[in-house]
Amino acid sequence: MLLSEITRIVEGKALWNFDDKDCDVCGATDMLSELLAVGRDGMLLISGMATSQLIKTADIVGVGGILIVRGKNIPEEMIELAKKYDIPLISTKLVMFTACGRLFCSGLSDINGTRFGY
Amino acid sequence: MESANEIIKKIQPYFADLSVEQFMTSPVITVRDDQTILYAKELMRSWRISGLPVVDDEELLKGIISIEDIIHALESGSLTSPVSEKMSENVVFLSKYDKIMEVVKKFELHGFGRFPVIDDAHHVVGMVTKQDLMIALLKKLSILYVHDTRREDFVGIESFRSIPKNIKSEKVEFEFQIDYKEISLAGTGAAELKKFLLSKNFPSKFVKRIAIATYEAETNVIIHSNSTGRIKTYVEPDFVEVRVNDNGKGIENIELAMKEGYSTAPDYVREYGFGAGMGLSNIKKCADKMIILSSKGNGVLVEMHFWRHEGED
Repeated sequence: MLLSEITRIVEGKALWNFDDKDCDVCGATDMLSELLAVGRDGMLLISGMATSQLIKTADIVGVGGILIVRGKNIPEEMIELAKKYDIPLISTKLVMFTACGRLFCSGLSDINGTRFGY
Repeated sequence: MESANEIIKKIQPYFADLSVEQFMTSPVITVRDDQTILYAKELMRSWRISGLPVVDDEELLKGIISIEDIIHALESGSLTSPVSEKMSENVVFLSKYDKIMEVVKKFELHGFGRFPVIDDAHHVVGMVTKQDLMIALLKKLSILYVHDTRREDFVGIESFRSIPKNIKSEKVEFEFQIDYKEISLAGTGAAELKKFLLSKNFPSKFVKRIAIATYEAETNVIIHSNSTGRIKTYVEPDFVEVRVNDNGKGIENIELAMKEGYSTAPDYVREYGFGAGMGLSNIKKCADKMIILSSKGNGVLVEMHFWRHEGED
């Protein structure tokens, strides 16, 4: 699923002018160690953690894009870092549960390949 | 070959403060002198032990009964006699204040497998076996060698075992100083290392494992050590060794720290998303071999070995 499509589904907005790309696997966590443990190359990460640390950790794992939930105030430095590491960053006002629910129902799979209806 | 005694003598200062009380098995299973040998035999069988201290009504040490004594009783058909008839009365025992050197000496001198421990009033308060002694020594050294059993097949192959032994040729190829004062800088060293390894044309999957493990180790230094730290990396064509060390307060209980979900991280770091208690287990998952050296007050050294696996090209 394209990041632009994902952005539309969660009524979000892109935080910087990144190139659109595909993300088919998705994971959600606020714990950095968990991200390190379960992160997959190119996955979409949903998180409520609006810190630069999240970007750094995401870079280590190689995530394909990040969706920040609950419409948090995203620090400018976090956006700058995301740009530097070339990691797409989207924010939404939806809460974690709803964002996950909508994306799951729209066909994104979890890191184990489990998808809606399967 | 040096005897165990000589080795322990050399490192004795390190153990000088360790007394029997700290590593004995306690409470201890005892048998009363007026109980039958049959009963003592049952106790040994159900607890799977090979010797029991014998005490009187007041828990005072009277003797010790071993499997050998029971066999004798069996041979002479006196299983229903009181324990006091077959026990050894000249018991060599330890005081709970005895230091580890004295314990080692007694094991060497007498060749027994176990010693009862008594307090000032001659009450039996514990038992020390060779295993207790060994575990106490290892714990004190706080040496933990963790090897992931899932990688056993891989570890068994020849190329693994013939890893260049001179890897510690001190040609550190990447070095990074960890700034513990700034939590927001956590992961900088790992990111730099990742960049460095990619520039050396290592495959990205391989580099990712190394980066994740290094990130966790680096974060541990920042969150827990309250001291400076250093990341050092040694590189071979198919092998990378990363050492992360600090000069901080050390890990008191490595076994506990290894447990997934166990964390001593303060609340303010949890706000950053750290402190899930997954750090060390994440490292274990990523590294092919991990060695932690630490004890209270002596800092931590985490040594991680990574071999390129098939499919990581």
